[in-house]
Amino acid sequence: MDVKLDAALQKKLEQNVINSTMKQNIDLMSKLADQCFDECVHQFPSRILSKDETKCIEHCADRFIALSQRVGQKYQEVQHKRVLEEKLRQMELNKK
Amino acid sequence: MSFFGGGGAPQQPMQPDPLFAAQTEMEMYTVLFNKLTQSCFKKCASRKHKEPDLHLGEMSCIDRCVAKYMDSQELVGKVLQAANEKQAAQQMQMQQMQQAMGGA
Repeated sequence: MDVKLDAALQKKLEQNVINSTMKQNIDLMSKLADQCFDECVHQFPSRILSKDETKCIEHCADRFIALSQRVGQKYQEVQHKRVLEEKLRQMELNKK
Repeated sequence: MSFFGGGGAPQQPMQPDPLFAAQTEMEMYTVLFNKLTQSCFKKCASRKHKEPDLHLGEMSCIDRCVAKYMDSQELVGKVLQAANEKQAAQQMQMQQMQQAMGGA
């Protein structure tokens, strides 16, 4: 990362990252809430979430986060391996 | 997602710009409303659609559905926020460790 960007551009980039992070967070929340609600709440005898429903929703969200972290990790591993293999292949080619 | 090696100086954290934030908020409410409608229709309206009007049971189901949906969104928001904070704390720790290693 030794490319020097001028300060204005750098700031603009950072702003973009912050903006899209916010949007991503909101999108994630609304999608996840919708899905967990759909899976956890089936009956409407009262307007308050029951204990079981609350637990189900919390677990649903927690498990989704754990899952996405795991997927991220695995993805990174696979991607890293691919890049390494590609580099090795290039080196082999250069030798010949 | 994190940007490793960004070397971001620890200034005050930047905020999303207000126009964008307002726009996103509007969008969020639209999406929320649409999802709420769809979900509660699916869960509360009888599939037979015998009459043009909603009957009493469906109406009270819908009212409760809306309340519950909003509560579950809040709940999920809290869980996500907690996870975000945890991640941020871990990242801070990592950075501090890296700095300590670099400074040694």
